[in-house]
Amino acid sequence: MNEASLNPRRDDLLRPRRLSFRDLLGTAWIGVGGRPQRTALAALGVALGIAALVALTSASASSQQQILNDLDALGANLVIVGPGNDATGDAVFLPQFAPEAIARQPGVRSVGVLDYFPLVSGVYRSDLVPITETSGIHVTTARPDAFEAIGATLARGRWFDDVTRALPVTVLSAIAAARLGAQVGDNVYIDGQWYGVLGILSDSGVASGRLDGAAILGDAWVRDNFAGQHSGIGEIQEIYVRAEPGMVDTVREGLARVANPATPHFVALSGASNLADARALTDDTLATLGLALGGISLLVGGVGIANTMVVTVLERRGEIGLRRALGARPGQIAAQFVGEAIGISLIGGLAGLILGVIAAIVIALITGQPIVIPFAAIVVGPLLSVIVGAIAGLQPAIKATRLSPTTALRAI
Amino acid sequence: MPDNTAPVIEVREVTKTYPGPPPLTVLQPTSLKIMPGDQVAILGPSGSGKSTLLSILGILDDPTSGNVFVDGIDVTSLAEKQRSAIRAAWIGFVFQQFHLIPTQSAVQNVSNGLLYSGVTYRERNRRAKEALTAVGLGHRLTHRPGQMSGGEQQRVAIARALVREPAVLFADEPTGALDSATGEAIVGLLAGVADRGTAVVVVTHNEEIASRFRRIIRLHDGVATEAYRGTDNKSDATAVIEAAA
Repeated sequence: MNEASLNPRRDDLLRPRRLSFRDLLGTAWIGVGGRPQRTALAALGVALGIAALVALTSASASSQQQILNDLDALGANLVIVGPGNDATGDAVFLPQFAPEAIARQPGVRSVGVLDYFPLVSGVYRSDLVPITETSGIHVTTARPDAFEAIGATLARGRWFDDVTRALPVTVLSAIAAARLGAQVGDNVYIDGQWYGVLGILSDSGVASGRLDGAAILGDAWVRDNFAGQHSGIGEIQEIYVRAEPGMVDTVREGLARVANPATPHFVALSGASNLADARALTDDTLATLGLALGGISLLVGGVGIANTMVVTVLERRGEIGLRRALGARPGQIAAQFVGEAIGISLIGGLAGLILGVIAAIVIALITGQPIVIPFAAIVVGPLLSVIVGAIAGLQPAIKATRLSPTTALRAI
Repeated sequence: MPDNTAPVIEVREVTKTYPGPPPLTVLQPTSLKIMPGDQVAILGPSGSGKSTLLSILGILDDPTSGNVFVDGIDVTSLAEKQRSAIRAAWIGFVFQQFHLIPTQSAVQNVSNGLLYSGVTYRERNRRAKEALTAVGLGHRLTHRPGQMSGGEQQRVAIARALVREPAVLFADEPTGALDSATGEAIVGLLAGVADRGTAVVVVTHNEEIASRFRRIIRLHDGVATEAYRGTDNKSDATAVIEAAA
């Protein structure tokens, strides 16, 4: 020890020294890593808040998704495109490229086509049944893509694919199958031809008006075998267009021009616009609910952090006094405690995220709802925990800086 | 270079009154100079105002009136930022309750003494080990306070105060939490510090401990009087005590 180092130059004596960021982190870490048990307990409060945030927003998002799915199944995202009538009342058929053109539009999720079957024909269990005993069963034609677009479900067997659409097979609606007493694999007799039963529908979705009580034939088979018997054979009867969630209005707007560019005003559009409105309303309401639930749980977590930090400052008054005596500036003390609050919050936030995701998955599995975890919740949860932690730590930190070093030192 | 004849700390006519009701004056107007290498004991019963005087000398606390000078600079009117800088560069503290951070090792605790002085991590560590070795704890570097005896903990605290090579070291009842034999060793250690040029100011209520220091300032009901011991010219020449009636 020599005189020079003992006595700094006078101007040097008053020069504030910087505390490096690394050293600041070090001081903050004393409170976080030094006492793992206290940190765990404090972080638990935050973790529960963030877990509640993630779980509740996910659960409400799952419910929202479930309701929207249900509404979509009812036809909230559906537009039906069909041929219009010209001035003389004749049908103006849609061009064959229409389904493909529609499918290419933005916002379109799926497209399915039912074709005309204008011939009047009965469906019989065998060729011995008198031709007048039709059992009220009619014949219609569908393309393979119709199944998804109308939201049909199968009781047994299969729907048409690219091979079976051209074969002498039929898919029966539930009513037709019951009236005929037919099973998958049986043969039924239509217009002088035996058809194998490929599948039986349990529900014909939004096309129930067309398909209930029908025996459905593959479009390619009809085109190949009935062409020329009637002018409507092979023409498009209805195109079922399913929009992406929330896109139905956009899709509907340009649909006529896309479906029939030559005569767009002879295109008939229909769909359940009331359902679409209800869907939009439901979407908004449930999104607001999710935000409200998230906000409340965040508030709870934030109060937890604030509580912990107030206690921390109280119980560490001695350390605060010591650091002031060692030459720490009030701002450096504040930074230490804010840093500590952020550290605890970050640990709690990440733990809460994991807990919340697990809870959301469990809830969805139990209620049978789709598992939806909003990306925003994953990002915003831990981020908000840090912000809330900083805010919650700020008041006690400022309180710590106002503490006179003498008072703080006397506290222990 | 600083003027070596300037006091390291000087207080002029400082008083301390805590606002009431009723207001309580714990320190009557007091003037005092601490010179480089001084050995000073502030002696008095509890409640006599000695801790208050120490806080003002160590610029931890503001006097109600009067001025404090550090190396000739009037620090009474300085911003907290600069007062903190002075504490970091100029003053060391040792407390009765050690005030070690329980979750840190001896080396980390001692290196905290340099944390706010702008010294790099590596350099802090090196000097902390040196300081611990100097107080006889070279074998306890990685121990935590809970693993050490009271006397060892106080040595760590002294090393923490000395690692920054302060101009003045304040010790507030440094033996208050120790048994007499251990306390004796600590007092010896502190008295030895002054021989290396650092002024040492010890606050105590123990006459025996005070008698180990060259200057003794007695406080009673906020009134300070210096006991002249006559054998030490330096303190006789520089000590100025004014006690208000």
